[in-house]
Amino acid sequence: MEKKEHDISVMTSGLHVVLDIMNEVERVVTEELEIHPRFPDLHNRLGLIRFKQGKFAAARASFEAAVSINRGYFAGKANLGYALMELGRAAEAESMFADALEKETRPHALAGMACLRMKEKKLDEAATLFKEAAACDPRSALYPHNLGIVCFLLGKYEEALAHLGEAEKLCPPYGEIFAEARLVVGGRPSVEAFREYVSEHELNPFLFELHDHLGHAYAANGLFAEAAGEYRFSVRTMPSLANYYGNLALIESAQDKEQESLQHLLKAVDSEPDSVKARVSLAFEYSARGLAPEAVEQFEAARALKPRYPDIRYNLSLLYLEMGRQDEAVEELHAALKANPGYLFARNSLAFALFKRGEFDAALEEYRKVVAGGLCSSDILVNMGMIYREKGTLQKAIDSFDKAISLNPNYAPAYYQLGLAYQAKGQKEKTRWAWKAYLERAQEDGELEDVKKTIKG
Amino acid sequence: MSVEDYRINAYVRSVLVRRWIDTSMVDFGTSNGVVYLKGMFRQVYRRKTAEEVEGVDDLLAIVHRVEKDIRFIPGVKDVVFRLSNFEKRGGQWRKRSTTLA
Repeated sequence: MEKKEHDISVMTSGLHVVLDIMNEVERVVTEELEIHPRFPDLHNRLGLIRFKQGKFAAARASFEAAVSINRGYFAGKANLGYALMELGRAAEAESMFADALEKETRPHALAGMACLRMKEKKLDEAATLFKEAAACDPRSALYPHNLGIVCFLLGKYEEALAHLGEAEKLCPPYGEIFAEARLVVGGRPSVEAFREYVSEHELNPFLFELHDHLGHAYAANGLFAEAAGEYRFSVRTMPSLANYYGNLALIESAQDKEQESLQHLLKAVDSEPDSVKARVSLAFEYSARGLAPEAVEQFEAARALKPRYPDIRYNLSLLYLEMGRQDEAVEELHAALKANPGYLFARNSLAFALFKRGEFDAALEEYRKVVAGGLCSSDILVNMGMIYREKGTLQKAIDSFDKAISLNPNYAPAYYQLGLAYQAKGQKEKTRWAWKAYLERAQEDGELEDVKKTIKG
Repeated sequence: MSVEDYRINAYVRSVLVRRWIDTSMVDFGTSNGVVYLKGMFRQVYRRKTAEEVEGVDDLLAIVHRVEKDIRFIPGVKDVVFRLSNFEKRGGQWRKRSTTLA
C-alpha cells in the first residue's frame, strides 16, 4: 500500500487500484446534490472540498448557495467568512462573523474574527479574541488550543504550552496528537515541532466535517488506520469528543471489535450528554445486544433532547412493546405519527399493538392506512384476516389469507390461519389442504404441534 | 409479543451502516419479526474494486448481500423491500426500469 496526499494504492482482486479519497468524497457529494439540490448541507460540504483544494472562489460560491437556501445556516455563513478571508475580502468576512456575535454562535464568531486578525498579523488582538471566545464557551477546547497557536506565533512558547495543556484537559485526544507531533522534548517546547504543527493546522474549525467524510471513505475501503488518522484531524480541527468517539466506534464496529465500539459509544455519551447522535448510537448498540433497559434509558434521554424526532419515538415504542409497556408504546407511536403522519412503519407497529390488545376496529383502520400508503406484507394481510375472522366476516378473512399466500407462498402462518378460517366454515378438505401446506413450511412451535395432531386425527 | 422487534431493528441498522448504505435515503422498520425497507438504496461510500474500475456496477450485489444479512438475523420471519431503484423478480434482484414513487 502506498500513500501520497489523498491518493492511495490498494490491492484488490490481485490488482492495484489507485484511490483518490478526496475525489471519492467529491463524487458522493455531487451525486447527493443531484438527488437533493436544495440541501444546504451538501452545498456546504462541496464548499469545504473546494476550500481544502485551495479553490476559494468556487468554495465561496458553494457556501453562498448553502446560505441562500437557509439564511440561518451558521456553519455555511462561517465557512463563507473563512472563504472571503482567503480571497482577501477582509471587510466582507468581518461582517459575516459580526452578524453572528449577538447569538449563541458568539464564540465561533469571535474565533473567526481572531483568524482575521492573525491573517492581518495583529496577533495580540487575535489572542484577546480567542480569550473572549474561551470565556463565552469554557467547555470547548477549540479556543485554548488556537490561543496556544497564537502564543507560539508571538514567541511565547511556555504560555503556548500552558494553553495547549488547558485544551488537552478539555479534550483528552489532544494529548495523543501533541505527543505524536513531539511538541515537547525534554520537558521544553520544541520550536521546530511547533512550527510544523502550526503550519499544518487548519484554523477553519468547520473543516472537521470534511475530515470525517475522508475518514468514512477510507473506512469503507477497509483502510482503518488512514480513517483513524482523518478522524484525529477532525477532532484536532473541531474538538467535539462525541463526534470523535462516535467515529472511532464506527470503524471498530466495521472491524467486529464490539467491545471497543461499545466503550467508545459510552465515552461519546459521557463526554457530551446532550449529543442526540451519541445517545441514539448507544441505544441501538444496547438494543442489538438485547439490553432493553439500557437502550430505553438512552432513547428516553434522546427523546428529551429531540421530542419531535419520529425515529426515536418509533424505536422507543418497539422497546416498550417488548417490555409489556403497551400504553406507553402506543403513546410513542402516536407521537411518531404526529411528527410524521406518513411514517408507515410506525403506523404498522401501531396497528400490530392495537391488534394484540384486542382493539380490532382501531387496528384494522390503521392496517388499511398502511396498505393504502403502499406498505404491504403477508404478515399484515394475515393480521387483517385474523381481525376479519374475529369480526365474523369469514370470506373477507379467507380473501386476506389468500392474498398473503400469493404475496409470499412460503409464509407458513398464512396457511395456518387459512386452515382455521376454513375450519370455521366447516370446509374440512380445504382445512386439511391448508394445514398440510402449513406443515411443509412451518418452523417448530406450539401451533405446529396442534396442527400435527389435528391432521392425524 | 413477537421475537424482539426492537433488537431486529437495531441489527438491521447495523447491517446498513456497516455496508455504508445511505440511511437518510432508505427507511426501515420491524413488526412481528417482519423487516420492511423502503426508499432509495444507495451506498454513500463504497469499496473500490477492480470490477468497478472496469465499469461493472456492484450495487446489485450489495442489495443481494444486505437481503441475505437481514434474513440471517435471528427472529426475522420475512423481509419486505419497496425500493425505488431496485426490485426483486423471480428471485433475482434487478434495477428498476422506472423509478418507484
